[in-house]
This record gives sequence, structure tokens and C-alpha cells, in this order.
Amino acid sequence: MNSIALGRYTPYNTFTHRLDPRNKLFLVISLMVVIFFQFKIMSTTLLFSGIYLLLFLILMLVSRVSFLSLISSLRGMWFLAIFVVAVYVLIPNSNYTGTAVAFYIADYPIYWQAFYQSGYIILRLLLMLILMLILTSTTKPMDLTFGLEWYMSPLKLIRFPAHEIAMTISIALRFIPTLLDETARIMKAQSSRGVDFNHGGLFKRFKAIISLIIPLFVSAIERSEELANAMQVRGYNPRAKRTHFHILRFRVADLFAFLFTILFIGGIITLFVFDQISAGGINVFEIIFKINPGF
Amino acid sequence: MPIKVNNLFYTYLPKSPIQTEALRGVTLGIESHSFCGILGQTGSGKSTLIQTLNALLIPTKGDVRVDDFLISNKKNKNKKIKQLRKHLAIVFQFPEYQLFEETVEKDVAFGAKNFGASKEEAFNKAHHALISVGLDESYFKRSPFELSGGEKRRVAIAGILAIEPDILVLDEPTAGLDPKGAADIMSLVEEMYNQGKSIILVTHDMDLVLKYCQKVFVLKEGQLVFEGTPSDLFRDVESNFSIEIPLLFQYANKLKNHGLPIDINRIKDTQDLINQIKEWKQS
Repeated sequence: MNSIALGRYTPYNTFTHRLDPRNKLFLVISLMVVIFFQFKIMSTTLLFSGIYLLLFLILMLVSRVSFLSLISSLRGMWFLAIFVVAVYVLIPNSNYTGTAVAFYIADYPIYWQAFYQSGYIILRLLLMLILMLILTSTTKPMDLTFGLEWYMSPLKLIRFPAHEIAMTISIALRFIPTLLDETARIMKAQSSRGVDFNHGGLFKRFKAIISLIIPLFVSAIERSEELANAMQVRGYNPRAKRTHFHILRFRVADLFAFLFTILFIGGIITLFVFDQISAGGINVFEIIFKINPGF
Repeated sequence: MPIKVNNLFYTYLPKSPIQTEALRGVTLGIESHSFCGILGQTGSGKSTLIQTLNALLIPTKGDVRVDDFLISNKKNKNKKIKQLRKHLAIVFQFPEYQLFEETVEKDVAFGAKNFGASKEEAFNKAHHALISVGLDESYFKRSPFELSGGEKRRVAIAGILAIEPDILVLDEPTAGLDPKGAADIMSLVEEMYNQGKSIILVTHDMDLVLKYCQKVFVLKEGQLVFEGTPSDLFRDVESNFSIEIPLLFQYANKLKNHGLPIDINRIKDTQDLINQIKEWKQS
């Protein structure tokens, strides 16, 4: 049950929690883009990723996102990490020829570059994960959908059903906790009837899951019908012009967060452009520390 | 099978901003073959308490002892938990939501099969249980989803009865049923009691408490605030547990205060009161 609670909104009142969801959405997406900038020299890329990691961890601390939830979501990633390393290390890549060789497996060269590259990819995934975790645990799902609706609202001009989509998403999000509670309830009822959800052979487990899923679907369908009726009775019309109970506000703190992040992103982009047009790329270690890491 | 609950604590979502202490040091004992009620307002911890009884929830602190099964947060052997669940079964609120098989008999046999009965045995038990809840053979092959609410509830209860537990815990078995359906279910429960099972009834219906329970436990904010017979409860209660005294009890009490020699402790339902009035008239 606990694993499902990952990235669930936690009702603290930190700086990040108070930010406008539209602002947060925009900033998170732009930071994600920046994470994907790969500099010409690997050591520079890794250094920048390290800086992002440090900043994001500080942000996590400020937003009171639990590190435990990060660790438990990493647990699901280790298989992926091994897979990435295996693919990058074992598959021949012409880009690596001529670079430092780590060791040979029966005359087959394994390059250091392959390790750096796979490490970078895993780090990138980790960074994305942290960003998503910060976003989802500091923003109410409802606010996120309102934010999305706001971004989609210009599309209304071309008859894009922005409101309907936002409504559908928010209903779906609204019912996740309800369905989770329902799941817990049915699981308990079936456990009382001797179902063991954690042990037993494949067939038994399959049967156990069936005994959970069918009642869950039945109740979900019943619920949706009830909800549809309730909305109709109240005269819901998706085409009607409506106001929001929660009005999203762009505050001074938002402006600061926005400016700070944009400046940061701007700096990175400038460096990146400079890196791309310069012949050999920027070697940060050589410039600042006067040492050449050699990769 | 006696039940002993010893200084039981249960906390939902510990160490999170929304943690709630549902039980705060509950100690109580339930004897073998008894019919007792657990009362309290919504959120008082009743449901949490009954879920710890068959290890669906593991106590945060303290322990529960059902016969010789010990439930505490220290060691729990899964096989033992399954055995415990065979002896102590819970009928949850709105149990009709747990139905999932294609036919009524299959669904009822499901629990019995899980607890190790062979297919044939399980079906026998299922048929027996279905008849005892008042659903005849014509129902056996029907889909549980095409039944009415009351019938679904009976099928679900039959599913628990087919397990043949020694202790039956019922969480508001009459909620949402019409008066006839509710009476049917309760007379079924009474029959189970007469067959030698212990019954633990969680309810808000004080008429049921007065009529059936020998002993009641009242929970408030996760603590046990009253333990005793229903008549004691209704006599003492000055609405501090927000319990509504049954009209019958109020009426009998009024009669007594006006000089009728009525033994309040013996009044369980209207018939008892009528009998006592008859006795008084004859004497």
C-alpha cells in the first residue's frame, strides 16, 4: 500500500507548496529540458548534472519532500540501471574508439566512456524523478489540472475541449484516493475470506487478484454512474462559462522563483550554446581547477 | 474462544503529517459464546478494533489474544494468521462489495475453499450456508450481480458462514436494509449465536443492542469508556456518549417510574414488555 503513496501530495506549507501551480509546471518542464543538455566533454556534463543534483536535493529539503519516498522509488529503478549499463558497455559504439579502455573481455574492449555515458543517463533519470517528486508532493493534483487547463485555454479558440479534458483529469485524480481506499477495503474483506495476497503460487495469486479487481471495477463503474447522474441533476454543462472556486494567483514569491530559475536556466543555455560552437567544447575542470580529468 | 485485548494502540500513517491515533490503550475481554456489541460514534475506533481482532491490522502497541493466537507487532507467522482468520471471521460493512464470482454458490464456496476445504466440501458448506440465510436452490446458479441489495448482502454473509468460524464479527450488518431484511439478518445472527458461535456486533442501532447484546463496549476517541450490560448503559447514559436510548427502554423506564413493577434488566424487545405488563395485570 505504501508504495502507491509515492509522490502523493503532502500537506505542508513550505515555499514550494505556496507557489502558483502554473509557475511550478513551467519551471519544472524547463528544468527538465535543461537536464537533457549534453556538453561536448563528458566531465563537464557530469559536473553540471552534479550541480543540478545538489540544487534539487536542497529544493527537496526546502519543500520537505521525504527522502524515504525518493529511496523507495529508486528501488524500482535498479533493474533499469543495470540494463542501461549493460547495453552501453557491451554494445560496440564507434564513438568510443580511440578513447581510454577500461579493460578487455576476451579481446573485446570495454571503454571508460561507456561507463560515463550510462552513469550520465542514470543520473538524468534520477534528476527527472526528483523534479517530478517535488512537483507532485508539493502541488495538489487539482491545482495541477487547473494549471494545465490554464495552459490549454488558448486552444479553446480552435474548439479544443480544454475544460472537458481538465474536468476528466481532475475527476480521475479525485477518485484515485477513493479507489485506493476501496482497494484496501476489498483486500481486507477478501483476506477475511482467506485470500492471501502476498504468498502462494502463480495461480493462487492470480485468483487473489481477480477477487480484488472484479469488485473494484464493479464499484468504480457504479460510482461513475452515480457521479454522472449527480452532475446531470445539478445541471452540469461542459460548454457553459464557469468560474473557479480556487483562483490561482501569481505572487511576489512566484516572481522571484521564476526569475531565479530563468536566470539559472539562461546561464546554462548560454554555456551550452558556447560549448556547441567552440571547437573542443568547454572543459570546466581545466578552466577552473587547472586539471584535466581526461574524459 | 475467549478474546483478550490488552492495552491496544493503533496509529494510521505513523510519522506523517496526517497520522491519526485510532486506538489509544484499549483493554477488554470477551468470553466464549457471548453476544456483545461494540458501540461508539463514527471515528471512535470501532472498525479499527475489529480489524485488529483477525490481524488485518497489526497493533502499533499492545496485543490481542484470540484463544491462543497472539497478535502483536513483534512476531507474526502467516500460517497462524490464516488459521486465526478461519476461527474469527469478519463481515464488513456493505459486504456485497466483496462478491466477484460468476455464480452465487461459487462465491459462497470461495472462502471455504481458501481455508482448505475440498471442492465438494466447500460446495456442500456453501449450499448449507445459503439455505441458512434463506436463499433456496433457485439462487445457486444465478450471478450475484443480478440480485437485489438485500439478497447480495445475504450471499456475502453466507460466504462468511461457509467458513464456519467460531467467532463472527459483524460490522453494521443491517445498514441500508429495509426493516424486513434487517430483521431477517438479525434473526439469522441470533441463530448463529444459538448454534454456539460468539457474536461481536458493531452497530449504531440501539434497538438491536437492547434486543440481542449481553454485553456492550462503548468506544470514544479510541478509548474504552463503558463496559457492561445494555440496560446498565441505557440507565447510566446521560447522552455523554451521544447514544440514543431506545424508545422501548425509555417507555419501560417511564412506566417503572410511574409505579409499575417492571424489571428493566429483563426487557429486550416489545414482547418482553408486553409479557411483564400481562404478569402485572394478572397478579
